[in-house]
Amino acid sequence: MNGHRQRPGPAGWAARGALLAALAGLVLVVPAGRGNVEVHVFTQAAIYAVIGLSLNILLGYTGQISLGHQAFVGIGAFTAAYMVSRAGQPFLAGIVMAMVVGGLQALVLGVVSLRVTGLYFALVTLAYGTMAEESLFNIQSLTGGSAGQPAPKPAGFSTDLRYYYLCLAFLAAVIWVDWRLMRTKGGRALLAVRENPKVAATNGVDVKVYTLMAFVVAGVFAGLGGALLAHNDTFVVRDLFDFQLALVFVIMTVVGGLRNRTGVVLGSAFFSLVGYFFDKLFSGGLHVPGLKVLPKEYVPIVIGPVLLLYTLTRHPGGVGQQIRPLQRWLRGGRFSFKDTHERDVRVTDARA
Amino acid sequence: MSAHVLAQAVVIGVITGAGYGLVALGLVLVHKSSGVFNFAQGEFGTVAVYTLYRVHDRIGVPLVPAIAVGLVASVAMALATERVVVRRLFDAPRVTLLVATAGVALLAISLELWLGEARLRFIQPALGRLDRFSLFGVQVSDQRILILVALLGLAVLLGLFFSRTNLGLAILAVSQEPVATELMGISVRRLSSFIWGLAGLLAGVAGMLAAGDAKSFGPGFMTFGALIPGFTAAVLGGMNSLPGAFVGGVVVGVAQSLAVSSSAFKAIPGPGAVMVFVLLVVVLTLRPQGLLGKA
Amino acid sequence: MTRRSSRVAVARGAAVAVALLLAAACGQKSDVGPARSAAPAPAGQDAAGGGAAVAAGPGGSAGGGSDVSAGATPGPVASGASGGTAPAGGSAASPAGGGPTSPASGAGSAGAGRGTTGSAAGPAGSTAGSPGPTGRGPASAGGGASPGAAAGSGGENGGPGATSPVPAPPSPAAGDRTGVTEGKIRIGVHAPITGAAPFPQSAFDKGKDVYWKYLAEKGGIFGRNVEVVFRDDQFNPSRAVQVCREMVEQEHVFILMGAAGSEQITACARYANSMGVPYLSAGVNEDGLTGLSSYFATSQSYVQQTPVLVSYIVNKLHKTKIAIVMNNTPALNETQQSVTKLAQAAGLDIVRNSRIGKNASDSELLSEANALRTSGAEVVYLLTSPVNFIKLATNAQAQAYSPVYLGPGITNGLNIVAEAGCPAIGAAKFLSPFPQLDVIDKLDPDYQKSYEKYNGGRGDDIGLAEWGLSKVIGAMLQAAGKDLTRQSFVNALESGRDFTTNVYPVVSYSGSIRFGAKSSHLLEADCNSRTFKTIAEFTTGF
Repeated sequence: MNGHRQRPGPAGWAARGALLAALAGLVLVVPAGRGNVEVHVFTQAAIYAVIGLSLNILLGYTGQISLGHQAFVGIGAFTAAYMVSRAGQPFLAGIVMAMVVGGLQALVLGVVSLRVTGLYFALVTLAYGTMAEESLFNIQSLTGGSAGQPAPKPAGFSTDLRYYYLCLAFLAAVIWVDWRLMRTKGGRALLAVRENPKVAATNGVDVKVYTLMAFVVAGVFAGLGGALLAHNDTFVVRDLFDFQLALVFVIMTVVGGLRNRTGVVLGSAFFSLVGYFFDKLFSGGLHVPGLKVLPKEYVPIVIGPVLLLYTLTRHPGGVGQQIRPLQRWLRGGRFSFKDTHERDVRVTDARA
Repeated sequence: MSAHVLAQAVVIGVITGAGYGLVALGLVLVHKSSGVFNFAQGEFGTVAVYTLYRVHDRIGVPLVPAIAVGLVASVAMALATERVVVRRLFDAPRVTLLVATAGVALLAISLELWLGEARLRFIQPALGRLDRFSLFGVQVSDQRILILVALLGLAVLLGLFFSRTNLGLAILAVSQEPVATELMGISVRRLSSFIWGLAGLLAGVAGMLAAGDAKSFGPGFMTFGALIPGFTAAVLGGMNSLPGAFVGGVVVGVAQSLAVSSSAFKAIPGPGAVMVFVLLVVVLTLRPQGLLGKA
Repeated sequence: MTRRSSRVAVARGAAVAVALLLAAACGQKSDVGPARSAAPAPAGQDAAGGGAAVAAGPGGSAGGGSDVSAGATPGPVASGASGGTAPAGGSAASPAGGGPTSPASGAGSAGAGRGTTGSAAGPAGSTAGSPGPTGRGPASAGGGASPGAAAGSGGENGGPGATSPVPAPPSPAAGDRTGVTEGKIRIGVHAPITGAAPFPQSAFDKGKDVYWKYLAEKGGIFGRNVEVVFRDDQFNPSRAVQVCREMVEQEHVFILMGAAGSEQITACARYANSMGVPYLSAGVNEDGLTGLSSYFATSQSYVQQTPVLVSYIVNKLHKTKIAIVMNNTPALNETQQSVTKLAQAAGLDIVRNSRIGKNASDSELLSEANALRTSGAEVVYLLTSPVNFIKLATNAQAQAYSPVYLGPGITNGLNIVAEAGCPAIGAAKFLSPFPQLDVIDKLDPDYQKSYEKYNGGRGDDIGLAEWGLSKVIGAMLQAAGKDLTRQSFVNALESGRDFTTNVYPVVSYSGSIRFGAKSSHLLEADCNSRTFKTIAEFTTGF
């Protein structure tokens, strides 16, 4: 039984409120004063957060590793582009279709994952991602082949800034849906499965069904992310969805902190923005004497693996774990550094 | 498809498959001894090639010592991976290790892109005769014969190593019973380093031969071109079977080649990648232990 | 302390913080860039209205566009115009079947189609020959009117089949001086430094400023020096749009240029058009670029180069069995058709006609090389990136097969291709807008002199290409006058005058003619020296 828990005073609440407001201001207000090209980068950060959350569901809740997540996203992107450019449908129809296709394709992969587990499933997703990049995304009639497919922004949100707010709204919706889902019976069942599948099974949890559901939700979110990405760039080319992107997605989720929504959002945003900030610091690239210039495009894939390895070996909880004291404080608790260390990253498939 | 085209596809497939088999050998080796899927196996090879190129073309070292330097580089990279990543995560779930090795691969690719520039480099083949003999209308060059010979030789050597030598047996013991092995006085750590070094060596050889055959290489070329076929070959042959790697490699190579040359696949872009993917899924669902593996 | 008062405190704190932040943010200026007369019409953006802006494209070119294709592509041009069928990806595809104006009829109706949709007529109408009296430049009311009018009528035709909607271009504000200051003009160039050819990263750095430094010593352009911003588009159209956006919206360049790469040039040209920024590029495809009011090609398009090459095969090579191999992108469909047609008309035997992936895998190229050998082609008419070409030739050589490679192009005739590809490429021949180093001293001795002066050492052929291109641009900037605006620049181009550099071919444009180069150079690989040599200068045929 806890002792008397101290509630923060009004000053404490004011401080917490100010911090939240500052964060809100950072996200909502600062981009308004920036040029289009910069807002485009911020929008990408929001979209990456959506993608990170989708991968988080897969990785964190079903414990299945997907090294082909860029294919999930790419399918969503090309679907949206196709709907808008070739089929002449409105923006929203493209989004919905992208989510449907994303969910369907994830379902197929989910069915495969029931037979093929753990390491071998990771292999399958990698092969799937490569196949998508070389084959699926090259089908001229669907994706424009190597010339790509245009995906103009929707009417009403045609400026970069408006589109940014739209994407933020989608991100908020995804966070909310994710939160609610994990509170449902299905979500709690998944958590139980992850901890100990045998116990969960004896308690009447149908492991298979809930795993498939998780796959579908992940696929839906990924499809959404892809669609938003397509419109942000106004042009989709298959070159974007390569092996490096697949790993960046995994890295940003793991470094962000599995099963920690805030961490994943922060991690994803970080990897999307790191090139931008780097460019601000070293415009034209980092000149290391004796080495070639490091351009901003390569920064995420240079520091990503380093951060990944660091996270896996030292701080498996990732960023999410590190900011836990802050989260606790914001909710009205004390600010303490206890419990900032998880023992290892349970990326594993409980069934593997 | 005419018989002539078919025969040509098979010949080409055997040759590229031999390259995949070399990669698969390294993968099976690591998996057999520690259960790890080494996603960095391809990059060990790419690093060897880049080092060879840098030393031979830019610094001017003659070919044979340059090759040695390149192999040293890939072995060093493998050892470093083992020490920094694998050892730290020794008790972690195997999937975590998979992700970690994938991270190593990405780091290597990013460094290649940064320091080596994102362009394809073309090389002149070291071995002269391009038309050593002709098989079904396909010219088989010295380079290609070398690949086949290397693969066969290495597979045989490794097989003997594991079954006849003490060290080989010790490695097998470690993979099955690490504690008991340690109690018998064998250093598990040293064995682990040895295995990874050997895998690095195999990858280096595979990379150099592949680059020599294609006469070009670029950042990450082994990961993009040979890692998935290599894994498929290993799975197909049986993830724990060394001769299986060889067989699997040839099968994957031939299947891929047939897919690319077959007119049935004209409408599908990237038929090779599709074929490899399908093969992988089929094997994993129908016969997960592979052709030569034990159930 | 009660719950309620603590919540009030939080709310107060938040309100204060937000207010502070708003004040801070509003104080910042947006660096969106100078005002444009019309924002890229959002109406053109959503798919339903997509047909609208789409129609504006070819409508604008009706009667204009590529009339230089005379003799080249009469019939099959519908490929570009029809929407649904041919994956037009990037082309300003008008709705299939066309709109109110009768498609493909004479120039008259096509000309009148300028202000209305003039849809399917687009390029087809142009070959009827007459530039059309309405084919004036973008500055005229036509520029502003056509999007509007087209938007109205285009709406009916929008819908399925309308690919890639083109946002209506704003009529350039009179006096748009972005990128021009008292002492400096800033231009932006994008090129596939990575992805298409094995260029080292610094390949373009040394040569890009040589001509401008040379010119600066002679007083510059009415006292202004030219600064070049050079970006890598990674041979990827999405990236091309991104770097073009950055150059226009962040670096505020005066004009944009595309060095090579059909899809990238097409994507960027459409973007530049929507922003009212003049865009010049090496000649590539015409499909997708016709009808863009701010686009000008500085060298012959692939379609224009076709008759030159076919005549070479017939009259100089005396070979009859040819194979056609091209990148599998929609932009090149027109070129494939034109080559096929001309070759057949010339009595050549096309033994293989195939497309390969833009980023073809090694096995695909091996398979193609094999197929070429089996077909027995003596000449391979090639339109693909240098990387694909070198790999293809290498695979062919490994099969003891050595046809004559030839083709249009911009980058295939560079020495790095010879260095990497010899001996497999044999005596490959490519057309090029620039001559090679073996004749440059005769044509323009200033190049090597200036290169030596500013960089030290002999200039390479990439520097030569940059020199030639800069010379052309310099002449154009000069012609635009002291009061340099985007409008005056475009006017100078459309005036019909010749721009002669003695390096690049002579170019001249008009309101409707945007592919205004008159000739090309033919280069041939010399594998003994691993360089390309010029075997015909300023040639128009053989």
